[in-house]
Amino acid sequence: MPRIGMGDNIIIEEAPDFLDTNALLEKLPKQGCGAIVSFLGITRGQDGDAEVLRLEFDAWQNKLTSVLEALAKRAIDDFSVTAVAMSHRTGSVGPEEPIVAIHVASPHRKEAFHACHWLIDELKKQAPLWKKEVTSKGESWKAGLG
Amino acid sequence: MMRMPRIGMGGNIIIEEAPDFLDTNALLEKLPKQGCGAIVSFLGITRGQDGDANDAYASHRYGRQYYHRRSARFS
Repeated sequence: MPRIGMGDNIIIEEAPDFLDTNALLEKLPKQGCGAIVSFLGITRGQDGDAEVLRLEFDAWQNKLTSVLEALAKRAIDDFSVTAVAMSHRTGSVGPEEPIVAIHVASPHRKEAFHACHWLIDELKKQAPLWKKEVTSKGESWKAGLG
Repeated sequence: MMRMPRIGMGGNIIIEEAPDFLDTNALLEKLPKQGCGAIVSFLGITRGQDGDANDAYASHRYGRQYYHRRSARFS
C-alpha cells in the first residue's frame, strides 16, 4: 500500500486495490498511549431490498490526501490525541470489504473516542470522493459517502 | 500457534478468555458483520510510562482477586 502522507504522528495511505486495516494499525505510533479507537467502514451487502454487488469510489486523489492530512492534524491539535492513521479505498469495494479505516491513539480513551467520531464525520463532509452503488437492481451515484 | 479459548458465544456475541495473549485482529475477524456498515473498536494498551516511572508490565491479578471478593459479598 503506498504511503502518501506521513508526519511523525500522522499516517495517510492510498488504497486503490485493498485496505489492510491491521497493517495500518501496526504503523500507528503508540508510545505513551493507553487507548486506540478505530473506525472501520465496510460495504453493506444490502440496500433496502436490493443486493449490493459493489461500491465504486472515485476520488480526486491529490486533494483527498491533503484533506485527510489536514483533518488528522486538526484532530491531534483539537483533541490532544497522540497519533492518527487514515486510509480510504478508491475503486471497487465488495460487500463486507473495508472502505475506510481510521485509527486514533491517545494516552486516555475519551479523547480518542471524540477524535475518531469527529474524524469520520468530517471525512464524510470534506473528502473529495464520489460513490457509485452497483446492486442487483441497477446502479446509481450516491450523494455523499453515506 | 496458540489457540484462544472461546468461552461465550451467541449469534451476535463473542467473549473470549485471554490468559496469555489477546489477538485483537482474530477477535475482530470473528465478529458477525452481515448487514453492517460500521465497526468501532476500542483497544486498551499498557502505557509505558506512569508519571515519572517506567511500567515493566501491568498485572490483572489484583483485579481478579478484587472481583472475586466483591462477587462473594453479593452472593
